[in-house]
Amino acid sequence: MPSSASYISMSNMFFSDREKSFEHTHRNIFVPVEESSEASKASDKPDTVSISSFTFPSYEDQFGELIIDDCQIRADLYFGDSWYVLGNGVGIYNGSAIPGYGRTVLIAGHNNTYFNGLKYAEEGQIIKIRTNYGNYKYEITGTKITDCEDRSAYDLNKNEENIILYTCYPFDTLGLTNLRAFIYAKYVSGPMIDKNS
Amino acid sequence: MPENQKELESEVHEESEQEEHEHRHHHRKKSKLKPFLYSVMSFFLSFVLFLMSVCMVLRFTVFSKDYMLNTMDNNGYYSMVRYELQSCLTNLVYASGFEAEFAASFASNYDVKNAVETYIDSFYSGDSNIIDKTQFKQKLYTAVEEYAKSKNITITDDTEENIIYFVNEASNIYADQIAIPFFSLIGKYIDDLNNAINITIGILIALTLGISAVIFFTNKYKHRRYKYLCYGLTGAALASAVLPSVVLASNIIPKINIATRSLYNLFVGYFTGVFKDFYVCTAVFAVLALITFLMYVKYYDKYRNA
Repeated sequence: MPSSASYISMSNMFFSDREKSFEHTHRNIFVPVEESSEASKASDKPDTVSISSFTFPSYEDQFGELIIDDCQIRADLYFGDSWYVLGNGVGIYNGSAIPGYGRTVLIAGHNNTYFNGLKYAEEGQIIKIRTNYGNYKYEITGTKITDCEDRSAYDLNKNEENIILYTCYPFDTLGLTNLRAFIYAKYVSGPMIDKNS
Repeated sequence: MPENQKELESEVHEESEQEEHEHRHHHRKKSKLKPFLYSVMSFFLSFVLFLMSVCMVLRFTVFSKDYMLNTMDNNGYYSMVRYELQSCLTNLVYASGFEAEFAASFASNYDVKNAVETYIDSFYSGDSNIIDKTQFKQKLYTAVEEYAKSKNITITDDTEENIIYFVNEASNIYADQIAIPFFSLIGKYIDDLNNAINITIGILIALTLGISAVIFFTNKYKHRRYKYLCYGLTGAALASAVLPSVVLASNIIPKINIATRSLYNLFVGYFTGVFKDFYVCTAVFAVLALITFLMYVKYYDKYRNA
């Protein structure tokens, strides 16, 4: 007798177990971690944060903020890069990692709104990211203007904490191009996430 | 002689009794076969009526352009599509150097309604379902020029190229929002199936009339005519009520996984309407079954009193 399990699982592709609701409320789970407590933590304990000790962001959750003083950028940081997110701040591509995870963090924003200040980005400038589980600092190491299809512009499998900001290019002009501006930054400080605890 | 006479009389009496018995036996045999045949005919009648109800519902819902347009109207489809279109375009506008409000001027509810109706029209007339983006592009390009003028932005050759790219991207988003997924795949079959379903309904009506006529004119007693017609109609009423009852009671339609609110509401409203229309057939069959039942009761009383 053939198993009906495959048919049932196939039907689950088309039907969910509850009525669909479009009343989506966007969560804001960002509660800033104080700099002083972070400093005291750093001196007493290893600079890590347990993955079970904080609320992991879901898609479209606001869980932090991104600040680049030299570029006059201060934007809310979301998980995901939907039109809602990019209309309200900057968003981490959900195929990349969150800060502290030890991988590449890929953050998108619009060139005429929250990431307009990236036109001033230069090597050595500091990117600050404050999240609901810790505060991070990254140092800009370089910039690149390339085609949006250029996959060599980012490496999401890199086993090293780093951050890439990207936006449409050029700035302050009307219209759209295939070009994107990439800003690369290396990790400076901030608690690493302990994935095993 | 009188004794012989008596014997003869008794023999004749026995023979006639035997004949009567045989006649009764034969009659009983005949009366068992007839109800069976009429019951089979009643079953076929209910089956044909059920098929007819399915075809009728499909004819007036899935194969009807008006049903689709009415469902869209009743579910606020146009305003939802416009909202979603505007949301997507706002994103593009942010990336293209415009202010967010600029996206609001692209397409009104009226424009969206016109575009969707043209699209649906082409779908039901078996055309290629290609959405005409020319008007949208022209309107958008004019809006960009006016925007640049109002902000004192000079359009250079480079900017011109970027604006064309933006207009093309925006019109692709527009076309995606107007289009209904999978409609273009099945659109070409609609016209052919529409004719086929009309022919099928014709055949089913002829079959219904034929079976009803056989039941009506081959039965000697009137109460029996109405009894078998009542069986057929009751069966059809029950059969046409089962499918929508199961689907609607299981509440499966609102559980469909569709990402956009406009398409989700359209899908739910559309298919809920299709299944609810089965109840119209159920009601028609039930009323006819009740009438035939009352006729049966009337003639059965007359038959018993006769």
